[in-house]
Order: sequence, then C-alpha cells, then structure tokens
Amino acid sequence: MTTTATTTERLAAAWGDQPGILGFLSSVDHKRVGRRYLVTAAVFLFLGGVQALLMRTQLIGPEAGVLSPEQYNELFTMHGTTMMLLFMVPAESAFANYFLPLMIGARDMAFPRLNMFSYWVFLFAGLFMYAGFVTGDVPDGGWFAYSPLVLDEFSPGRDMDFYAIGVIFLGLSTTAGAINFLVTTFKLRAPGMTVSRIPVFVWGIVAIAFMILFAFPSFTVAPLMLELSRALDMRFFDPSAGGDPLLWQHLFWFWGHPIVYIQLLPSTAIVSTIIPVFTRRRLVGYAWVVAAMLATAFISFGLWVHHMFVAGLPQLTTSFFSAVSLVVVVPSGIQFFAWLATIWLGRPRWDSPMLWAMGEMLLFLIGGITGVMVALVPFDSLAHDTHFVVAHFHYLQAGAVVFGLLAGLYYWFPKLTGRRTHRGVARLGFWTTFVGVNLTFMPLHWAGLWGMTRRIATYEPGLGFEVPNLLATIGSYVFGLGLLVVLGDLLWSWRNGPEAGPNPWGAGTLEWATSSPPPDHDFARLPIVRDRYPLWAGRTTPDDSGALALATDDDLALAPPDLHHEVALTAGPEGDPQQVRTMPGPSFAPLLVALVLTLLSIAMLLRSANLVLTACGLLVVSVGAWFWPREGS
Amino acid sequence: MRQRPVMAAVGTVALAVVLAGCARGGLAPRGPEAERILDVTEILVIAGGAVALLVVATWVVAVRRPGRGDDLDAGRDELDPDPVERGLVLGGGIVLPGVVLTGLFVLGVWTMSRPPPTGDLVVEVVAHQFWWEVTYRQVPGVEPFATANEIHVPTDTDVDFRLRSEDVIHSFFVPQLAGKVDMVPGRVTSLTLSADQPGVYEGACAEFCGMQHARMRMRIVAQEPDDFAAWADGQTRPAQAPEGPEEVRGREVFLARSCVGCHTIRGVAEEGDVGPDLTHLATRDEIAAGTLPLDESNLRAWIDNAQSIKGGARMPPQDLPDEELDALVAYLLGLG
Amino acid sequence: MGDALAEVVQRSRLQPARGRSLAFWGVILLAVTEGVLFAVILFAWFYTWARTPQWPPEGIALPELGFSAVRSMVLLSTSASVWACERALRRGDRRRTWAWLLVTLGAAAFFLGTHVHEFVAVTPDEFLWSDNAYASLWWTILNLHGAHVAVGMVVWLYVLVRLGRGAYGPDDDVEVSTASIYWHFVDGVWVFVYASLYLLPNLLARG
Repeated sequence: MTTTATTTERLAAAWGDQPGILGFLSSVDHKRVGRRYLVTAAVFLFLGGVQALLMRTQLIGPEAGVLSPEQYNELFTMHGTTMMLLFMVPAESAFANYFLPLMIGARDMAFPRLNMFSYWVFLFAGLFMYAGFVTGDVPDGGWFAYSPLVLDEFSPGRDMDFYAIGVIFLGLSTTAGAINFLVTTFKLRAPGMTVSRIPVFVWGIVAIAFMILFAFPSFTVAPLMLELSRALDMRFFDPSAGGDPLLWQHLFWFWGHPIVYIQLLPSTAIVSTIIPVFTRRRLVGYAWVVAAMLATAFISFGLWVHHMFVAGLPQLTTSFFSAVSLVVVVPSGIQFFAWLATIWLGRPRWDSPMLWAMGEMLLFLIGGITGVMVALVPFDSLAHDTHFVVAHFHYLQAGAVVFGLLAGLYYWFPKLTGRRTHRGVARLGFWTTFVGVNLTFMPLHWAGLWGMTRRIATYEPGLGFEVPNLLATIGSYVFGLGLLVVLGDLLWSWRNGPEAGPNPWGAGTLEWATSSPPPDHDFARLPIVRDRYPLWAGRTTPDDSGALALATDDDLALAPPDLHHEVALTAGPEGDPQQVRTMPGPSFAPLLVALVLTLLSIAMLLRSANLVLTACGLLVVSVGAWFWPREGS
Repeated sequence: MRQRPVMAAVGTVALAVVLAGCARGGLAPRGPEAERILDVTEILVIAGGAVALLVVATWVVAVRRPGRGDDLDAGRDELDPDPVERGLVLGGGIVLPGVVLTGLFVLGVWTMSRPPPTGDLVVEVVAHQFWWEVTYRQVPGVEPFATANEIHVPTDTDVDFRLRSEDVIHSFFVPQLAGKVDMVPGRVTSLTLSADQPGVYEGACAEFCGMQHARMRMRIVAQEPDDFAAWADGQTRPAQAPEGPEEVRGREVFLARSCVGCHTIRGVAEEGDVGPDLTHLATRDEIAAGTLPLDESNLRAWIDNAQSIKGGARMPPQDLPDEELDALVAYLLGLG
Repeated sequence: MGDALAEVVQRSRLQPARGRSLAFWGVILLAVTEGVLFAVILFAWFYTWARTPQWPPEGIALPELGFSAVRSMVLLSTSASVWACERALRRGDRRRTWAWLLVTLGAAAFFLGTHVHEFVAVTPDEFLWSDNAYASLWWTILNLHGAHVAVGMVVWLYVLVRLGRGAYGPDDDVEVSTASIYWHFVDGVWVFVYASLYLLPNLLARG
C-alpha cells in the first residue's frame, strides 16, 4: 500500500491550497466555494428572517406603531430581495458547487477560477446592496421595483440605485455559475456516466442552469434600463415620452417567474435524491422526473404575464397565460407521484433528511394548489396583491424551498463535516419549524380573501384582519425559533457530533464514495460508472462501506505516476473519455476582478463618469492578469 | 404515527379560523361581479381540497402499507417498468392534473368571457399618491362634479369606472364588489361593477404605490337610486356660503393662505388641482383617504401638520395661527 | 467495459487533445445568454415601437442607410478576416496570422470609432437619449453593442500581445478560436441590431 500513500501525498500536494489567509483568498476549490456560499447564504437568511420578524411584529395588530411606514417599506423590499437573490439562489449554488462535481465523479468544476469569481461577486454585490443600511439609503421601492415609483421623481436619493446596480452584478455572478455547472456536467462526468446515469440532483441543476441563461439577461436589461432612467434621465418607462411602465413588468416577470422555478427545482431534486435513499428503492420513473424538470424549465418561460392579470391586458393574452400557468402543474404532479410511487414500493426510514423531505412534499402540495387557484384569472382578480398571494408563495418558498434545502443540508451534513446531527434535536427543530410555517402562512390566506392587501405597513381595526395576523405573527416567531433550533443542532454537531464515516445513509451516488469530508482532490482514482446508483450496483442490501466500490481493479488511476492537477474530459451522451486536462490552480485574480467590479458599482452609484471609466480600465487590466499564463505552467 | 395529533390540531385551528367569520371581504360579495368570483373560488377550494385529500391519502397508504421492502436493484431495467410506476406516475402525475386543470381552465375562461355589462353611469377615478380623485360627468340632469375618496353609486346599477393614474401605478380594489384593476400611468383601464344593496364597502389601493400605500383607502357608498340622485344633486351645487363671522373669516383664510394653490372649492376658488376637491367636504365621512374620521379635531390636526399623521402625503404643514386655524376648520366643516 | 475505458483514458494522455475544449463550451453558452440579452432589449425596442403611432417619433429623421451600411459591411467583413487569421494559425503561417489579426483590429477600430464619433460629437445636439423612449432605446442598444465590440477588441489586443511574445501555434489555438467565436457572435448580433434599428423603420416607413 505504499504507492497508495504516495498517491495520496502527491494528490494532496497538487490539489491543496496554501495555508493561511493567502490560501483562503486564492483558493478555487469547489468545496470551499460551496461552503462559502452556504455560510453566506445562511447569514443572509438570518438577516432576511429578522426583517420578516420585524414586519410580522408590526402587523401583530392594527396600528401597532412598531415601524414607520418608511421602515416597513424598506424592510419588505430588502426581505424580498434578500430571500430571492441572496439566500435561495446562493444556497442552491452552495449545494451545486459542493456536490455536483462529487456526484459526477469529477475533481473540480470546469472553470474553477470563474467559480470562485462567482462567489466573490455574489458576496460583494450582497454587501453593496446592504450598504444602503450604512449610508441611510435603503431601497424601499419593493424587490419588484415597479416603474414609475422607483424613478428619480418618486424615489429621490440613492435608495433604488443600490438595488438596481446590485442586482445587475448579482446576475453576472449567477450567470457565470450557470455556465460553469453546465460545462462541468457536459464535459467532466466520470467515464461511463451516460445521460441516463446522471444523478437526478445534477439534472435539477442542469435544468435551472439553462433557465438562468435564458431568464437572467432580462433581469440585466431591466435594471440597466432602470438605472439609466434614474442616472441619465432615459425615458423607457415614461408614457409622456412614448415609453410604458408595463414594459418594466414584462421584462421583470420574464425573469421573475422562471426565478421561482429556479428556486424550486433544486429543492424538488433534493427530495428526489433523498426519498430513494430512505426507502431503499431506486427512484421510480427517473426518466419521467428528469423530463418533468426539463419541461418545467421550458414552460416556466410562458407564465410571466400571470403576474399582470389585473394590469388591464387583453383577455386573449390573459387566457393564454392562464392556460400555460395550469400546464406547468403537470410536471410538478409527475415528480410528486414519482415520489409517492417510490415510497409505495419501499419502506420509509424516518431519519431527519426524510422528515424534511416529507415536509417539503406537503408544503409543496398546498402551495401548488393555491398556485392553481391564482392561475385562474377571475380568482386572481380577487387574490392578486393580497395576503392570499403572500401565503401562496411563502408556502412554496419559505415552505417547500426552505424545507427542501434543509432536507439537503441534513442529508449532506455528514459529508460536509464528517459528523452526524443529534436525532432528537433535529426532530424538535423539524416539528417546530413545520408548525411555525403553517401557523404563519395558513391564516394569511383568509386575511387575503377578506381583502387585506399586500405591502401595507399597517391596517385599520374592524376589517377582520386582527385574528389571522395575530396567528401569523405568533407563527412567525415559532418558525424563527424552529430555525434557531436547527442552527443550534448543526453548529453543535459540527464540532461534537458522532463520526459519520463515508456513507452513513448507505446512499448510492458517488459523493458518498469519498471520505467525509472529501479530500482536496475528491477522488484519488477516477470512478468508472456503470449504474445510476454506482454504490448500489449489484447489491440488494444496505452496505455502509460504499467507498469500496471504487477500489476494484478495473477502475482507473487518473494520472500515476506523475500526478498532476488534472481532470478527465468526457464527451457525448455516453460519457466517453476524450482527453486529460490540467486545471488552473489557486489564483488571486478572481478576487481582484470582483473587487474591481465592486469599484465599478460604486462608481455607477456615484454617477461619476471618470470613476466608471477608471474602473473599466482597471477591469481590462485585472481580467488580463487573470488570463495571462504564469511562468512554468 | 406521531404526527397525527399535530395534524389534528392544525386542522382544528384552520377550521376554527374558517368558521370564525369567513364571510368578509371577497367572501361576502354584495354585487354580481364579486359573486361570480366567489363561485369560482368555491369550485377551486372544493377541487383543490379534493386533490389534496386524494394525494395525502395516497401518501398515508404508501407510508403505512408493508411495502415490498428494501431492494436496491429493483427497477434497474427501465424497459420493464413496475405497474406501480405506470399507475401512479402516469395516472396521478398526468391524467389527474390533466382532467382537473382542463376543467378549471374552461371554468376560468367561461367566467371571464361573459361580456361585461355596459354601465348606466360612468365614474372617472384618478389615483394620486395617496388619494382618489373621483369625477362624475354623466349623471343625468346634473352638471359634472368632483369629489374624493368616497364614491357614491346607486344600487342595482352597472357603474363603469374609468381608471387612470397621475403619478405611479395604483390598483382599484373593493373586494365585496369586484376584482381589482390596476391604474397605470399613460393608460385608461376600466371596471364595471354593481352593488346589490345599500351599504358602505371598504376598498383600498392594492398596488404598492409608495410610503403611504397602507393609508390609501377608499369606500364605495351604495345608495338607493333616489338617495343617490339627491346626493348627486347636492354635490353638483356650488359651495355653501359661510354662515357666521367665523366661517366668513375661514373663507378669507382659505383664499389668503396656500390652500387655494392645491384645492378647489367651487364658486370660491377653482384653480387648485393638486389635492382633493373640498366643495362638499363636510358630506364625507373621512379625510386623508380613509386615514381619519372627519371631525373638528382631526381636521384641525390634519391642516396643522398632515405630515405628522401621514408622512409623505403631498399636504405640507400649514403653521397657521390658532385663530386662523379655528376659523378655517369651522368654514370647511360648514361645506355640506 | 472497464478495460476498454481504461485503455482510452490511458491513450488520451499520450495523444493530442481530442474534442472541443472547455473554453469552447463556455463561450458558446456565453453567446447564448448574451444573445438572449440582445433579444430582450430588441423586444423592448419593438414593444415600444408597437405602442407608438409613428416610428421614429415626430421630428426625428429616419436613420440613414448609406454610411451605416458601409460601417456594417466593414464590421461583418471581420468575421472573414478572423476566420482567415485562425486558418493561418492552424497552418503555422505566423505572418498571415499577424496580418489578418491587424486587419480585424483595424476594421473594428473603424466601426467603433465612427460609432463613438456619432454618439459623442454629432448627435446629442439634435438627438439626445433623454428626448424620448425612442432615443433612449436607440442609444442604449447601439452603445450596448458598441461595448461588446470594445470588449472584443480588448480580447484581440490580448491575443496580439500574446502572439507577439511567441504564443500560439497549430496545436495551441484554444484562446484564438475561443476569441473568434465571441467575435462571430458580436458580428452576428449586429445583423439583428442593424435590421431592427436601421432597416425595418425605413422599410415600413416607405411601404
């Protein structure tokens, strides 16, 4: 076994980072990127959650007087922006970054530096948007930023500039990430991983990555037009100059509806990943589930007008979009019943990931049914912009998405940390959260139907809104408490939990073939895939020594005797090996370019042409430094 | 099954909330438009509830049946799918939603495609940050007149609303009478509604429109046609002349101070078009778009410093001497 | 299967790279998402057009089709020069590689220079971006495309410098071919931009 030791040492030398702060700043390891996304997204979840609790406290009763209308508007704007853009999408990037390469048997992402660049830009754009709290210019025009309310005339100051500029750069980060996930999945799958052996979670990421490429340009153009209107007095949205305020809504929702599915699909893909493991059965209808996710990705681009049903558009238009909004339910139904069929065939084990996955199912069901309701134009004309809609989409996003993400977090926690969580505390956290989320959002359906509109900083007594709002506020505290229990469990177990071993759940996908946590190089030997669940192949009983599956003789050592920083490129639907490629190593360039982009955002915020030009010049230089080949490589 | 008590508790609470007073707002329609919406709502709740029950029941059976147990290799052969796969995935995932959704879509289109009635009365509403300008141009037998925030309509009459906005996007929403319609700058949208019985129906701006969005409320006051005609006749007259010396003094203050720059009182000063028409202010129940009931102290406080009550409204603090303020309030309260 | 795979991977270490590079797929996806970006802003153009009775609005002349056509031809011809440059590189003809690269840069500089000249020096007097939605869209779309041309030129300058330092060769052309895909994309977008902003308003105004 001396060669193995040498192999491991050499791989560690080739793939490890420098020690210390320099290593931290220059690392491009996909696992570090994933961990950073996870921690940063959790911090933003905390901030967005505090904002939500403040708002719910203000709405605990009529005329509560806890917040001024201005503060309330700032909070709901930042809550929406934070949860949509700084929590949910990055949290999914976290899992995708960490686990996508592991699940397809690759050692890294296709573009490791671009990957770290995505993270830095996300971090700085998030800080940039929150900088308004420091300068006193917190965006207050809503995360949907409808013109003309957000134009200079009605929103003077720099509030909405923080929003518009921030989201442009966030979009850049998300788009770069999506390209990375796609090329990684196209080209870095382990040999033998045919399209029908790609793990269902990876398919979910592929689906949303395509959606990002087609949806986010709209959310680059729209905020750009908004910023140009604000800074340079352009007239896109000004009806007195031939523009139209509804143009913003078309552009915004062309992104804004797909983004909901971009958030939802990874969560359902996590459920599709977890249920087979905890029922000891392969996912029933794998091909149907994959097709359903891709169909959702496609159909979700035909839904955007259902956010504009009451904007006075022609009936033919609204009928078409109503029909598409109903059609998109079918792929969700397919996934749902594939889960039910898998449970039907197997015998569920109630470990924590399974609990959260089942919670996701129920919340997804409720949010989906209310989604069908608002897809019907007559009902939507009542429910639109009321708390019914607030309840509906929070069932999907605070409910299904969060529960799916937490299911994933509990499922992969042993892989991330090498430790297991505390069973009892995990259960307490689940049930508290589950009760909290229902108690918060179920009553708001009624408040909405009774006429309680959205985004109101307070309400009058006597309209019947008191009881549902009181319940919702109590529920929100329970919800917050539940998440704190979860956080406490995870933090405590991270240090003190029992050792997990490589594959504590007896799962079948490749990430469980590595040690927990995985080494810097992920795989010492290149796995060769012959089954959709490689660690289950040929087994009929659970086997917790899944790591053995890679050590068979005909598996291939990637690069002995001269180990390099290399990955294998494969091609085509069959995953044929094609070439071996040296990957770029650690670099400060991603951080540098991200900092220059932050300078550019500040220059735009200050509306200083000279500073913008300077930043563009620096950008050219820093990107040049990124690509310039280094000595000896 | 340890989740049973929890589910039961959640169900009981939900049911209690339902029964505690469902019949409000959109669930207590008082006109044909809102009744059509409620019909659709009921069908949706029943269909959605049935689907949810079916799915949950399937889940419970799936969880509780003995199952075929662990088998990590079963189903490797894609070409030979299990009958459960075909039944559940295709039946539940495609056939069930296909049937339900097609039915619902037909229902939705059918409900919407009834031709909207043509109104017997046209009311123009212009939304402002944060109040409603209301103009009646076609009431038979009376001259056009304007009012604000309280919209009187005759019962059992189809009223056409022409909706516009002067600044940002607002939305016109009176849940007991109809669905909502946005008011978009540069466009005229419309809504026809009718009230079955006399009453005051609460409404609000439904689209976020800025700082005081929550205090942009309104009400529709439905009256028997005769009462409405009498009201309209009163509204169309010029403002009532001041009666006592204090009221006369109040009118002087109104004309001398900045009030006239924004407000119109027909027959007294008609240039102001920024704020609400005050010709018959005293016939209204509330001021500041549903923010305060109209009485002497509220009106006084509002004129003195509206910003402390509804910050962000266009009404600036007036800073009048007490004597002038008293007189102005007395005059305005006399504008019946 | 395992042995065959093992053999293929082993062999691939000894042979020149087979198949497309990672950068190829990356830039293709970049072009896809950027293409959507231009589609979206052209949607805004046509959306606004459809809501305006006269296009261009009252008082704005139809775009001229003389010099703009010349500029377009110059820009589009660079797709050919880039292709020739790549071919020369693959054949190991460094002199022609240089020549075609310089031709490309010169043509791009002409295109961008005339655009900047029009934007900065000539037009603002009678046609400012804040006049109306037409002008706002006109300048935003043209400047957005201009920015892409500028980025492309920076990429070619990078290639130029690297070439000057002896980089690239018949087996080392990934950077050049990646840059050329991006450049073809920028040229291709111009076809749509030119058709939407210049040709169609003229056609419809006369027809």
